[in-house]
Amino acid sequence: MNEFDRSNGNGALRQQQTPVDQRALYDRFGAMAYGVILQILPQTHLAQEALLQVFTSTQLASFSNTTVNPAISIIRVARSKALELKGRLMERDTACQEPFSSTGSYSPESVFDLSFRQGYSFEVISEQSGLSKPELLKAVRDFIHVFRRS
Amino acid sequence: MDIQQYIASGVLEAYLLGIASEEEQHEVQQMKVLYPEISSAIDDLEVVIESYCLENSVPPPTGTWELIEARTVRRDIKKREKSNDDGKTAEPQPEKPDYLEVAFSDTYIRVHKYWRIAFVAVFILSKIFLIAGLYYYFKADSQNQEIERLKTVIQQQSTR
Repeated sequence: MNEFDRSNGNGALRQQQTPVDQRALYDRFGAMAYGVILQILPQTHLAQEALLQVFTSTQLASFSNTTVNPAISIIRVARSKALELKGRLMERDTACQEPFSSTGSYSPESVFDLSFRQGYSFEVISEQSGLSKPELLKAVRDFIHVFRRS
Repeated sequence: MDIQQYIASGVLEAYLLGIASEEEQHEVQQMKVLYPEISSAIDDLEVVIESYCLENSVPPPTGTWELIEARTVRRDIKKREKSNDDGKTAEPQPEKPDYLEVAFSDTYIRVHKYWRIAFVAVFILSKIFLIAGLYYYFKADSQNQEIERLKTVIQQQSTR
């Protein structure tokens, strides 16, 4: 046994599959995750950083062993990493911390945009828009189903 | 509870997109186990959401995978170093086997760093021997030519 093998210790057996799975997930869902991130974080250098965080995330390694759909898990992780980076960016620019401006009309797409892309909670959107939470949930459903029909 | 109403409420979409509250997430997970209709609706929605996101796919910048790989290796090394440090202070572990079965698909080999010095020494020596060989070859060749020339001179003198 050489030094390399020795230094791996017992964890080598567990870790040996991770790069393979990681590569497979990246090949299959890398573009999808990057697309999700760009919807939230349009700055390409930050979006790339978020993508790196997604595919180096420890959450990702457990996906292959669970029944959770990997695409859905990656979408969730991509969104949370992009929002995390966006949040850090906005912390620096305090002027951006103000709630979204109300235009008076809320389409399913604008509700989806506020909740999924901009990361506002339903409570905040509800306060600002005057729509109830069930109405907001319905708007998200309508947005998804408009896409389904098209 | 009206299952169809629950499915139509939009909470399943919010759950899958990760925008539902923790309470709603737990609720959906419980409902998924209890009601096969909800489980099947979630399966259908997973496909729709995946298709939506795939439609908005953007190829990542080139070299992203290499960066991911490098970061993963760095993280693994740090983790290993940390576990080694912890191992020093922790109680002695049960004896591990002397070898590990590791599936390795790499085309590179790892050798001890002292081999570098050996390779450099062999390289330099080979160059020295090559130069020396060429020097003695041309020297011997010129000596042969001189001998031949002297032989012809002697032969010419003896015939006179």
